[in-house]
Amino acid sequence: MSQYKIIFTGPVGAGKTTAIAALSDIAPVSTDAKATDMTRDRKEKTTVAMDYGAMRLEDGGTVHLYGTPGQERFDFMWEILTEGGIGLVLLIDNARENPFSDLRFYMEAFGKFIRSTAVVVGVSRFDLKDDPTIEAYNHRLEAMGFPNVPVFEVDARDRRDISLLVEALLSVIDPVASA
Amino acid sequence: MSTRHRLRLCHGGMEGRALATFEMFLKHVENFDCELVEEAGADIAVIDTDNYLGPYLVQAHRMLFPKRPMIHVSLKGELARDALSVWIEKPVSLEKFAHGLAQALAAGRAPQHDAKASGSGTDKEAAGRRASAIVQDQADTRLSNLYVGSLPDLDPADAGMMERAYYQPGKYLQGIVEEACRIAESTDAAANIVHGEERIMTIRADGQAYETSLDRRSLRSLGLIPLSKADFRVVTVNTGADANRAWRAIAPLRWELALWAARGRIPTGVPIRAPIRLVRWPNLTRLGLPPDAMRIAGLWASQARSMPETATLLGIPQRHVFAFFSACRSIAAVHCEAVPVAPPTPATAAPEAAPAPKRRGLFNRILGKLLGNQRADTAQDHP
Ligand SMILES: Nc1nc2c(ncn2[C@@H]2O[C@H](COP(=O)(O)OP(=O)(O)OP(=O)(O)O)[C@@H](O)[C@H]2O)c(=O)[nH]1
Ligand SMILES: [Mg+2]
Repeated sequence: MSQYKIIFTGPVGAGKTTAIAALSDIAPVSTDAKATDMTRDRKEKTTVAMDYGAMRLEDGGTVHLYGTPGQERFDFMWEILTEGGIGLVLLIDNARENPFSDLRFYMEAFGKFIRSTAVVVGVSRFDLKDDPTIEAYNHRLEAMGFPNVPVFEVDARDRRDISLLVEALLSVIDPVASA
Repeated sequence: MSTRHRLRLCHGGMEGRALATFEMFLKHVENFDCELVEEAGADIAVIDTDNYLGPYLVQAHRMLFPKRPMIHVSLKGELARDALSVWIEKPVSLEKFAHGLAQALAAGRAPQHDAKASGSGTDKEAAGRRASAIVQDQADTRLSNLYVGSLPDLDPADAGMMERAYYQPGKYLQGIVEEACRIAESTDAAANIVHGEERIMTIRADGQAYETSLDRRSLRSLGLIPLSKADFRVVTVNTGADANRAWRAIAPLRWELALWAARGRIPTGVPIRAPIRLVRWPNLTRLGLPPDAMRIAGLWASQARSMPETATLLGIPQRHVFAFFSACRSIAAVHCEAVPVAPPTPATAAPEAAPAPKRRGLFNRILGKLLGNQRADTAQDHP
C-alpha cells in the first residue's frame, strides 16, 4: 500500500501541532509536555519529540504527517523525521521577535532536504501581527537563494488554509501530476 | 385552502432596515412560503433597482444567472427588462408581490428563455476530460461561473477565433481602479472614484490601499460588467481627511476585479503564444481562488509555458488558465517572455509532461481528500 510522508517544521508555537491535527483523519499523536524554561512564557504546552497524524486515502494508502518539535535542542530528530519525506511545510510565526531569522534558520537547517524535494512556507499568527508582509518574505527567500517558494498567510487552526498549503506543496513537487 | 408554493428568493439592492422589513414582509405573502437564500440557490431574484446601483445589480445578476426569473422593485419601472423579468411598482403591497411572484414563475416556465442558456455544455465536457478531479469540478460549479465564465477552448492558430479570448480591462471597474491608483500615486493624493454624485471608493495616496462603503455584492456587480466610462470620474482629494479611514490592501481587490472582468479571458495585447513565468507566488490563501490556480502556479514557477500549452499539459480548460493569468497580471505576479520565433513544440511531446502513473494516482487521491473536505468552503463567496 502506498505510504507517503510530509514534514511540518517551524519555531515553537508556529502551529505545527495544530496544523497536523487539522488535516489528520486519526487522532493525532503528539508528545506535548508542559513547557519549561525558554518556552514557558510563550505557551503552556510544547511538542518534545514529534507530532504525528495521517490522511487516509480512499484506496487505503496513507499520507503520514510528521511534525518536528519546535525547540532547537531537539534538532537531532530532524534528520530522522525527514528521511523518505516528499516535501516540507515550514510554518513561521509572524508574531515572534524576529521571524526572518527563524525563516533563515529553518531554510538552512533543512536546506539539503528542501533542495532535493520541495518546500512551502505558511506564515501564521498574521492576525496578531501583519508585518513583515508576505511580499517581504518572497523577497527574503529570493535573497537567500530560494526563488519562487510559495508563501501563504495561514491560520493553523483553519483547515482550508492548511489544505491549500499542502496543495501548493504537491503542485510544486509535480504540477502536471497533481490532479 | 390552496397549496402553498415554497419559493427560495435572493435579494439585491436592499440592506439594513430595508432588508429587515422585506424579511418580515415575506412572512405574510399569500400562497407562497418565501425564504431568503444565498444567490446560488435561489428560484427568483428580487432586486430593488431605485438605487444608482440598480442597473448594475440587474445586469450582473443576469450575467451570472441567465435563466433565473427576476423581479425589479422600483418607483417608476424605467429599467429595461428581459423576458424573464417582471416589475413591481412601489409601494409594494402583499397582493402585488404575490401577483409578481406568480408572473415571475410563469416567465421562468416559458420555453423562450432557453435560448439564453450558455456554457453548461462546455463545463460538462471539461468535467469529463478531468475525471480525475471530479471533486474539484463539483467544488467549482459556482466559482467557475463567477471567475472563469464559459468560454470554450479556442484554437491558438486561428487568430480570428482567438479574438474571443480577449477583453479590455479599461472598460471595466478593473481599469478604472488601475487608473485611479496611477493618478493617486503620480499626484501623491488620495483619489475618489465617483459615479454621478456617489463616491464608489477612495484610493490612498500611495495607491496601495482603498476604502469603500459598498458591500461586496455591489462591488462585484460593478466589477463584472462593461461600464460606460463617461459615468465615472476619478478626482483627487485632500489627503488630510484620510487618516482615519478603514483602509484595505489594494492587491486582493485588484486581483478579484481582474477575475470578475476577465471571466476566463485575457487582457487585449497579451500575445497568446508568449511563454508565461510566475514571478512570485500570489498569497493564494487570501485571494479569490479560480479553479486549478495551484497547479498552474506550480507549472509556471518551474517552467515558462504559453497559456494554450499550459491548458494542454494540465488537461484543463483554457479559460481556467486565462482567468489565473489575468488575476496574476493585475498584481504583477507573472511575466510574459518573448514569443519564440519557431512554433512551440506541442505540449504533448514535452518529455517532462509524462509523470509516473503511480505518482499521478497519489496526487489525485491526496487532492481529492483535501478538496473533498473543503468543498463547502470553496463554494462559498469570498468574504
Ligand atoms: N491567533 C492565532 N493563533 C494561532 C494561529 N496558528 C496557531 N495558533 C495557536 O497557537 C498555539 C500554538 O500552536 P501549536 O500547534 O501548539 O504550535 P507548535 O508549532 O506545535 O508549537 P511547539 O510544539 O511548541 O513547537 C495554539 O494555541 C494554536 O491554536 C494563528 O494563525 N493565529
Ligand atoms: Mg507542537
